Amino acid sequence: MNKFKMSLFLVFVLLSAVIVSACSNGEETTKSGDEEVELRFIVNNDIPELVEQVEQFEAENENIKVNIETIPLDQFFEKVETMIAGNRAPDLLYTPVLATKRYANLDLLLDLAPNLSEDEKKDFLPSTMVSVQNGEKIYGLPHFTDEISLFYNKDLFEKAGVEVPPSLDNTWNWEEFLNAAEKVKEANGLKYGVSTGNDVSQFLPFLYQNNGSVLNQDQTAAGINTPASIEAIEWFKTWFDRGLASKEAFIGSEKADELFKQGKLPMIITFSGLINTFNNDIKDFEFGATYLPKQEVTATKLGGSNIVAFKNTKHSEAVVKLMKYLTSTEKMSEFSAARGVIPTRASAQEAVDYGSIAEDMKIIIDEVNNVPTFAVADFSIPEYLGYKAVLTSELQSVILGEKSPEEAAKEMERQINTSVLKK
Amino acid sequence: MDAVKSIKLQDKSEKTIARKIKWKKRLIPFGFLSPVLVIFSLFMFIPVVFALYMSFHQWGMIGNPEFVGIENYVRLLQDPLFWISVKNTIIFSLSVPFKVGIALFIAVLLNQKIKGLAFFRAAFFFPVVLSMVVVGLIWQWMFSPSYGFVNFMLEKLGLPLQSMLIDSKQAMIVLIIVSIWKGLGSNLLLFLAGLQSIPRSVYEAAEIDGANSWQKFWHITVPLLKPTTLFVLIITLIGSFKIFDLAYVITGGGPGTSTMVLVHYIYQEAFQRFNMGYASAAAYVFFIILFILTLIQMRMFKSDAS
Repeated sequence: MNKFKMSLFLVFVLLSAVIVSACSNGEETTKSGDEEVELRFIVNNDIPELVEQVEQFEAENENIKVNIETIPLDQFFEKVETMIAGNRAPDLLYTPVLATKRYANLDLLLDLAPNLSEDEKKDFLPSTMVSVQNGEKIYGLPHFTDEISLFYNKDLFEKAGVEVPPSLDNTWNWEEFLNAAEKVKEANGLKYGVSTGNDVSQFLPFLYQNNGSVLNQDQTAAGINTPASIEAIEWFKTWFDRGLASKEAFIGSEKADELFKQGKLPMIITFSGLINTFNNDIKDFEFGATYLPKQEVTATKLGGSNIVAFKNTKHSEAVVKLMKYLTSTEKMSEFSAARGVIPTRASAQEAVDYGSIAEDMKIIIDEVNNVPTFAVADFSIPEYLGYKAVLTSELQSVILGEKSPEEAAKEMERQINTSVLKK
Repeated sequence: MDAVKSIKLQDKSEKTIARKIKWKKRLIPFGFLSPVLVIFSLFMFIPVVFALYMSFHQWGMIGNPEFVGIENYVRLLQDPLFWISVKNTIIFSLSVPFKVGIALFIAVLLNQKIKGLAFFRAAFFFPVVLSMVVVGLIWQWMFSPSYGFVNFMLEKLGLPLQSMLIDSKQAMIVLIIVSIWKGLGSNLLLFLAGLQSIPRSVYEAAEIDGANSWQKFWHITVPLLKPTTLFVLIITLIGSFKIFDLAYVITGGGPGTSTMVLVHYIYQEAFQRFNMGYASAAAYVFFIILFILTLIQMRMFKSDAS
């Protein structure tokens, strides 16, 4: 008998625990009438500069408390998606640009257009607005952008007597670019002339430069199996066939940025955001940024982050206030200077003071402001995350000589259509 | 008449009381089990059933699932990449007999009375406590072509340098080597426990009969270790089918698709392409494969034993 009572008791405890937790959840949501406002802000990766600015905001607005939750980028999407699916979307999200469209298309985001003046709207750069704008509606504010850049070792170039291009209009074409790489490599007796890292986004600028793209123009099907795209893949393969680029670095068993920092690599194609790391770590030689080559057009791939708000937020006023604070000309230029990234507002680009990297940042900003819109559209979508893996594995097969560029392009097309776009 | 009636009544009420007690007795265990049952249902049973339901739908995690029948399964079986990932998983799993064999061999050695036994046991067990990601990063560095330890040693020995991680045919070998190193300790522990449960008297009897070490190993150790071996084999095989983190960190599935394994394929569909329904279907096919393999193994050992 006693046992029976005990087991009943256990069931009772369990049930009451469930009920109590359900109630406490309800209480939390009815608290909105209070003066004190608490915001949940989910941020991808650890960004101390952003946290610092949020703290300043809290100090200036005593009734608003912001709880920042940091999620590393490689777990970002699975965690955020799970939260949204479980009705636990945050108030604000600091997200890589490509995810913005996904949430906007699912009608989850707060439209910010009514809260922005015409001047403010115009101040944001058109190329960065591509990822947040849908007709009249604006689903987020671009916070910063970055790009795939070309950095070079000034000492090695000087020794080889090779000059880098003076301006965007007079940049190398593809052939001149590889010849320069070869010349510097030979003159310095190095193993390599130019390399990318293992992130396939570092190949994309060259795809776009040849007027190629991963998806077709209206983004309804793959666009990679086209002569322009295949030609770009073919040319990329010649980097390796001519012994200029490191297969290991592209496949990921060694790190191109380490080789560059050690002075073993004259040119590296990598994220522009690495400029700060290079600036801090490189002591033995001078380095700089220069213009990527051009073929049909000049192009690079942009990155960066947007701040978006979920429309179910109970504190839209506070949310908009924080978003505008973080994207104000002053805060944005401070942030960009500290991180070595590019502001998304024209006024902030003018105001930003990069200090010792100012010259290089000018080149990077010049490139960012001249990216063709078809390229921006190609990577500013959530499918980017899905097709990236396909490009990676197929390009690796091409580089290793296991597949021809045509075969790889065909396989990319197949996978993108069936699995990424679900045709 | 009354007496008979009352007896009947009494009988009836006794029966109901007995039934009541019987019911209570049956319910008691469930009461005590309820916390576990709730947790199990919430985190295991419901998701497993939900995944089965999802596998017949197209679902992007957010929004409403759309019923598609067996389309996910059909598409899955037609996807060459799926078959590549199955093939790679099987190739990786072919290392299981080696893993078990090596563990058994070292366990027998460590079961002797040798000096520094505790040190050796600890040394072999050490990799088990490391996290998979740490192990992956360390070994990626070890095999790195220009600054890795393996090439450094090869260079010192005057041997040709390797770049196994950028070779589609050899990258899998690296994964196998690393997984042997990482998993050895736990198998070793199981074998050691099994070895110690074999009574000394059996060996002594064999010695009196004039059996040599090899005969003792083959005719005593191996048969008596059979239950342990079966257990280790099944656990290792299931573990090797579940390989993901190691491949994800060291090779990222490359070069090309040469180390793309099943779980990686499922992960990619679910969390990079948000095809939750399709990924669920793949997970169910994965489950069926594992189920059949385990069944075959158990059968094999049963018929062997009889």
